[in-house]
Amino acid sequence: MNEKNIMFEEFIKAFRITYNFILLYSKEHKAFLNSLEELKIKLDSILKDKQQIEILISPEGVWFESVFYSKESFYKEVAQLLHQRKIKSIRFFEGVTTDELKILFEKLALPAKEIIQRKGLAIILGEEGNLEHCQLEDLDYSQLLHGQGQQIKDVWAFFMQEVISKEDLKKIDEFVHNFNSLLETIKPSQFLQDEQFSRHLHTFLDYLKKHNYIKFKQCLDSLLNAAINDSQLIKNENASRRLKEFLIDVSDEKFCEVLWQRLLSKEELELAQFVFLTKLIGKGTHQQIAAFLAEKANKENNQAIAFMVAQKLEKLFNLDKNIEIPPVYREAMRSFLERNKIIAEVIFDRQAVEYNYQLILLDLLSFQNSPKKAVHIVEKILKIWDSVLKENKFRFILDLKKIIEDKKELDKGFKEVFEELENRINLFLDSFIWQENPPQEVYSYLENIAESTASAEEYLRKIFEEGKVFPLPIKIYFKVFKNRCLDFYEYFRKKEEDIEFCVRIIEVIKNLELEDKITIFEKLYEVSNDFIKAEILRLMAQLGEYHKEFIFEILRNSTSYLKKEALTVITEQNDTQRALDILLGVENKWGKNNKTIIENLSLLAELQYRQAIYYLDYLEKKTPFWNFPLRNKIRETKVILNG
Amino acid sequence: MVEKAEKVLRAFMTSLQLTTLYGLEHPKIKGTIESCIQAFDELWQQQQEIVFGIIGDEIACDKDILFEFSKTVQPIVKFLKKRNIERILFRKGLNRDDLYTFLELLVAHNEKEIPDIQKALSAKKVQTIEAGRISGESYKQEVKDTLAAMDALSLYTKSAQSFQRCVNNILDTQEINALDIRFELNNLFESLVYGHKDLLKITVLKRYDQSTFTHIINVAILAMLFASRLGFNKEDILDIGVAALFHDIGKLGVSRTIIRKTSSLTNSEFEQIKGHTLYGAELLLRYVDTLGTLPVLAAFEHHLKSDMHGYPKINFNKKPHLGSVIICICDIYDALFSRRSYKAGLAPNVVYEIMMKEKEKMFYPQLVDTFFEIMGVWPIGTLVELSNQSKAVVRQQTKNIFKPIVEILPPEHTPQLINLSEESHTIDITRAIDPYSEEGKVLAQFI
Ligand SMILES: [Fe+2]
Repeated sequence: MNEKNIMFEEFIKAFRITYNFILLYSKEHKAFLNSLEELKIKLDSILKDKQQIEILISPEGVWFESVFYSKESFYKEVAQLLHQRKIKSIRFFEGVTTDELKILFEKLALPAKEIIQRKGLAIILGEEGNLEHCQLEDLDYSQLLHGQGQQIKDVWAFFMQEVISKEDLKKIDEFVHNFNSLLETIKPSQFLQDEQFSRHLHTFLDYLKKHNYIKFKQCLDSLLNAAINDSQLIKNENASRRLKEFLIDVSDEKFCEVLWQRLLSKEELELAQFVFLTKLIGKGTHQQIAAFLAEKANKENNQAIAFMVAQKLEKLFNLDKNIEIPPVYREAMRSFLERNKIIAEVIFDRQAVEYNYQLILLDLLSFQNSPKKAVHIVEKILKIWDSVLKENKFRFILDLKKIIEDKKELDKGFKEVFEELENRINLFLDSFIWQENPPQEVYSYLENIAESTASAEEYLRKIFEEGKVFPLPIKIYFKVFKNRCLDFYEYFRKKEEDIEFCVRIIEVIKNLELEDKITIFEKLYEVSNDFIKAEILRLMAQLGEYHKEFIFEILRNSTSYLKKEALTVITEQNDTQRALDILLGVENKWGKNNKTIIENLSLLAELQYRQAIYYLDYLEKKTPFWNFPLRNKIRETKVILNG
Repeated sequence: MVEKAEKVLRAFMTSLQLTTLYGLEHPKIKGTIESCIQAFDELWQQQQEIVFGIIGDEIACDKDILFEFSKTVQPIVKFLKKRNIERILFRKGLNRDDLYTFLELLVAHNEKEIPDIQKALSAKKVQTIEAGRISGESYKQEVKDTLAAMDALSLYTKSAQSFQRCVNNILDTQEINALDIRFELNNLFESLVYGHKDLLKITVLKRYDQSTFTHIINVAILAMLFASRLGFNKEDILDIGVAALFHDIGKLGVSRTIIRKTSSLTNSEFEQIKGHTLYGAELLLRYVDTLGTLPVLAAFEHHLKSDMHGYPKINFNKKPHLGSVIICICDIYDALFSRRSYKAGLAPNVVYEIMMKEKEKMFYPQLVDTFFEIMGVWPIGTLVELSNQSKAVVRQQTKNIFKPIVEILPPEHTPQLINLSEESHTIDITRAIDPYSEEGKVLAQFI
């Protein structure tokens, strides 16, 4: 026993003597006053290095500095005397006087009944006014409801001991009844982490289990119900493990009942709660709980309730697959869920609301033949405009444009109504002209537009200066700005040096569906250097389209470099005949045009132009014997072409 | 003084409305609570506490009864009364947390019982607010009246009146208070949840009423119930309720004589009827900002059919939204029952058969099956005759949509519930009894 314990023991002994004296004698009796002096000394020595001490009272003994003193009978005696007077604790502060102690004992000596009638010693002492260094705290059942945190836990810990020791059935009843309100005030997660409290609770429940099984069950049920609503507990592994120790005796039926009640209640059964519950259940009994649950569900006669339960379960089973719900549950509920299946596509789709709304606006507008009445539909369309754009609803915009055009045709009054809307539509659509790969829907619309918001200059600038050599703007240019073609050629001419750029332009044009592409090519040919000219001819050859005279003119007057390309453009047999006439049938009196013809023959040889063979026979016959430079060249060419 | 009190009260009511509709987490709430606190702070400069009472339908503040103000907050008055609150006291020192707690308690759902708000406030240590019944003899009668007024029928009637006002406003292109409508629907919806049987019984009775508005309210109630059984969240359910209320508003633009005509319609008359979808949608377009877009959808889409025989003839919107289909089903269902227009009210089993045929032409045909699984063929509250000749009233649905649980009515038998779906019973329902017919009148008291 250490010094501290001895000092406390001395003090309690003195306390008991003083108490006995005041009960036996009057407050002015010498024996009492002497014992009071004695007590004061003991108390002072304890208080010497502390500012205050607190003694907690239980019916079996007293708590002092976390030690329970109950072994010696005097502890018990003091404890019981004080407990009968509903005292929960006494506190002494440094500087306590003999007079204060005297008043304290005077009041302690009052009959227990009177103390209770006057609402407790603390209040009685309070009326004395100047008991600064001595305080009492009364036991109060009402604290159970209003107390908080540590304090109420202490009270409860104390009560749990008390009711067991008293074995007072009425008290136990009351306690079990109050147990629910305890759980309302302190959540299981709070007290389960308190070792001491848990211990007391265990002792208490063990006692109940032995002596009053029904009440025991009641308490367990309350505990389970409180636990499932305690989100802190559900998250805390440690606390839920502890809880499991308490709930060992909970029956399968009860677990099932709790689950079922949660399913029935309007509140959601969260996955975490379900998993938490299933963790509390011993592994072996999942099967049974699931079976119980299925039985309950199948017995549910109220169709509406059955639906709701099925929905909750479906939701649970379809949630996060990472958190395992033992599969037996799903298995057991299968037929119930099947029967109450809600059609899968039945969901309230918010997006679909907006989508249908947009389409209804179109429908309403298309039905509306009065410009005046169309105004507020247009207003609503403008209101959703941003979201339409954000989602790139081309179909919507193009349909809208079509409606607008139809309406304007119907009634001139619509022009004004649609002005703002049309501007926005055109601006939006035109922005796609300058995208390299506009969406197909927009492309097919734009390639057919009859006018554009941008000017010809803007097109030329963007194509030639910004290098936006895309099919769409070029096509639109040639369609919309038909009378400004010369400007295009002029820009092209200025770019002559940039061969790569020019080739890109003509290649784009080649792939366009344009009515007189060939004419455009010819015009571009006129403003190009030989290299680009050759390229244009090559593209014409690929297209298989040409204007005869244009080609023949090249064969007559161009360099052999271009003649060669021009010749490959020709596809028609008649044209070939004519081309050979131009190249070889040149008037050659006295061989004056030998040079040209020989040059052209080399060109044919180079091209392996076999269509020329029969013409060479004819030419050979026509050529006089003395013109052997030409005859030699003809023969040589024939060999090459035949080889 | 009264002015400041009203300001406080209005701010509080707004917070409560918004909380009910959107929950405390919603960003809108924070602002309203702030202005609420501000209004209180102004008030505290003059007084220490303020007490509001609900007497009948009026709100009283100290000795004044705020008649005008009360009119504007009727849905909330109902809401509070339903929670047994006739008196609210706010004390100086009231802070945001207290207010949040109070609102949280007020909107918390409890299916089984009316929560004791005062007890809950004490438990949460809120000392600046008290809320509960008015005690004292002088109020007793009022309290009694209040409770009597809270039955489902009066809720129904009052809602019908306020929707009627609202519809009239829309027809006059006046402003409407969307929050009030939602709140009113919320009250109806809560009644559906707490005691949906009562409200459903009334929809059965009200079908015999000639007024257009009863049909509209019936459709809204049925649609909300249906939506909630389909597992939609509250926001969606209320949206569907709002849409249901207004889906047929276009009919009010069609001549009554055409709508009531019993002989067959001429082409031009039929075109006019068809026009109600377009007219309604255009009308509701003006209220998109307040009512949302779903009412427009419902008005436009509720006669569309998957076989292209519906109307209007559409170019763009090919498939109606699920919400519109739900409303469409409830509309047809209630209309078949009702005695409006050229059709006499039909017996429930006939309604069922007609709808089963009709469903083939509908979008989401399975939805019709689901609908009957929820409602049963014989709706709760229907007076019926059984195959053993006894009369009964339908009390609850079972898994067998044809065989509900019924209560046998006197004089033939003492009241007892019989589950017709149990195999031991070979009794069937043979016909429904019109509660307004001679034989029905006697029995109707038991509904
Ligand atoms: Fe309609």
